[in-house]
Amino acid sequence: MKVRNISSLEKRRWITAYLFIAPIVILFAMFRVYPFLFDFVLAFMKWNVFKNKGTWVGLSNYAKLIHDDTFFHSLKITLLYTLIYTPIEIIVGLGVALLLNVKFLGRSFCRTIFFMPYIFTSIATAAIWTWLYDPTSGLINAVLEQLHLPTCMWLQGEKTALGSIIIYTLWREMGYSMIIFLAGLQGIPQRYYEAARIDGANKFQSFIYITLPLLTPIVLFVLVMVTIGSFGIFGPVYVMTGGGPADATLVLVLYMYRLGFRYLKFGYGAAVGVMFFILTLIVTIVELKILGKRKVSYY
Amino acid sequence: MRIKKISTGIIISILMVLLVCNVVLAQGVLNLWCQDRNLDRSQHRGFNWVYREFEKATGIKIKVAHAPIEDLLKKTLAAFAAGTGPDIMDIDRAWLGAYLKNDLLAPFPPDLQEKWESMAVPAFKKFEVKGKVYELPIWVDVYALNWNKDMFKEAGLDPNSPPQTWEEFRAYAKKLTKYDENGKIVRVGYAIRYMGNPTGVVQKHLWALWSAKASIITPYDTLTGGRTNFNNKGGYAAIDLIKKMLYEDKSTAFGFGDPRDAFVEKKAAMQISECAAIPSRAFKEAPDLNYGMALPPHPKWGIRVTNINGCPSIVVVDGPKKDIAFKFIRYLMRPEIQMFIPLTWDVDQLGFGIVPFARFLYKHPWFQNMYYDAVLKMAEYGRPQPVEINYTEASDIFGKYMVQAWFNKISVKEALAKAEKEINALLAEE
Repeated sequence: MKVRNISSLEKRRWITAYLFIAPIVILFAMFRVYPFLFDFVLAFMKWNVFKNKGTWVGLSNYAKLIHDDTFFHSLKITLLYTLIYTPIEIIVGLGVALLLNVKFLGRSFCRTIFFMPYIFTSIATAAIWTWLYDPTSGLINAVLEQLHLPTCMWLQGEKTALGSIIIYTLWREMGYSMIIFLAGLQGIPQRYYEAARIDGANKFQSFIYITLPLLTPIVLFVLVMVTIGSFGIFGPVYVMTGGGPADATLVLVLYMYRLGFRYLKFGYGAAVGVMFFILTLIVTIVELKILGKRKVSYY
Repeated sequence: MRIKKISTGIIISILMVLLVCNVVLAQGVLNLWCQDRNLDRSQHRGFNWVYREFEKATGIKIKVAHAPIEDLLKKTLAAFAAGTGPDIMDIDRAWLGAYLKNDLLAPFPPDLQEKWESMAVPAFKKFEVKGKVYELPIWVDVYALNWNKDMFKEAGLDPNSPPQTWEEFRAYAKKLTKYDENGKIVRVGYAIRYMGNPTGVVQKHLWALWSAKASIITPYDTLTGGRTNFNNKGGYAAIDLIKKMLYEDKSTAFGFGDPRDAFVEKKAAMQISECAAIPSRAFKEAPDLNYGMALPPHPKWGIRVTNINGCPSIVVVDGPKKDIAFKFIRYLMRPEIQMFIPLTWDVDQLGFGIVPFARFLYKHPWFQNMYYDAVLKMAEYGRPQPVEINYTEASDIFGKYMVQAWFNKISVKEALAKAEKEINALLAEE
């Protein structure tokens, strides 16, 4: 009898708990899980968005992808962007975090300044940077001219457009990795550094043998997040170049957007989305496998 | 228990009454969706008056919702998918094909079409699709060549004689280009658009393509089954014209941004875009800008042509409120309303720059000036963009290769062949 009473109390507690989390679970299922799963279904269909119905086309959307030069071009641009941007963001983010981890007057102010771009609306900052980058009336070229340095076409040059977007994104996103690295750095006990100093280690050796190994989980986290973010780059490209000039900045998500919302090919766009997901998943797993093995602990 | 039952009954009754009221009220509301600024009652006192008068006369309320152009398309797609679309909307011609293919738009009834045809400036007849009228352009934008008269004078050219042919165009642009002491171009003779989405780039270069008797898809009033017509002498000449200006004449260059900005900022002596683009900005941003407006140039062996777009253009959704919507269209086509709209349009534009739809308006003193004479003459050579359902994608493909050829990444021949192959594959899909 006693057991049954406890059980019913537990049951009520469980029900209450589930009721509390139900709204978020329902919303999550509706707005995250369902669209995600539906994308896989949509990729097998030719979808008429006006009539909200689709025709089953099997694997033909995927078959089309194989012959789609624009898809491979946008994939190449996305990979190029990720390969250049990700290491730079991690190195710069870590570098700035190391500098701002040292005690000096105005440290908090500097941290705020570095983090601020991250909280600004990306569309607004991208629009401002587009003006700064203007080859004929932009501030950047004006300063370069004053310093008698060669000017650049920035966003309007076929060879410089992607680099210009990388510089802008670095300025905007770097604060994010910096703050994560800072938190990681502050979690490393000072006694390790003191012990190393007693053993005669210099600052560089302390960084290589203490900071870096102990930061590995943080680096891994930032790496995965930055890589995923880089694969999904859209806003700055959409605002600053629209994918141009001559598709020089046409990234995968922008191509997906064009397929869906400009050409109304939602089924085919979904197939590109599935490929995008698989690619991101593979790269993330590889990163986790390689770096995840490196577990360092000091007792 | 009884109280519970009574209160439940009351709540259900209230809900039923509200539902019925909502349905009844919704019957008397016409939902109009438009692009930002276009037709919005909160932003234009003129339109607010137009709507108010209609509301007073009919008891039907006009509910206006507006969004930026790309968001509007997303909004309408979502709404049509959910079965809650607008009753009347402002449409971009690029979307028209898809809407028509899905039977979402209602053609004007015969009597209204007759009235439309008798009212319209002749060039607007080209807006018809297979002999049927679907849209009421509030006004039209004609693409024109703008030239800076002061720069022409400075270069020893007649400021009142813009280039008519491509040969003159190239020669003038060369004379008008200015370099600094290091040989760097500081002012282009002609500003090109090559940035942004490829369709936008193509739009600004259609004058060259069409005047060389080429086109991306032909005919322009077919929803499906169109064919390409650019991998030929005309298409080659149209892309090569700019390439020659870039590399042989050095009279244009990359890096000058949007041609309209370059022209207003006096970094370009000539540019080609919507006729309203410069007048609507110049008086505010460059009041001393002394410029002219003419039909874009054409090759000696080509034709005189330019592109025209309805902006905004109203269509009626084929739905339960179709009849009320046409009532509103009839009201908008009344002479006094046609007269009122352009006269009270956005203060920024001082009422010029736009081409009114009704031909009788041009007899009014307000429209009898050099500007409207020029615009009306240009409109005669106007051609709207095709309504082919794949036009946007085809245009994006063409634009991508055209700019690649301009960047010397591929030859013009290669650009045309690649674009043709991809566009033909696209057209074969349907």
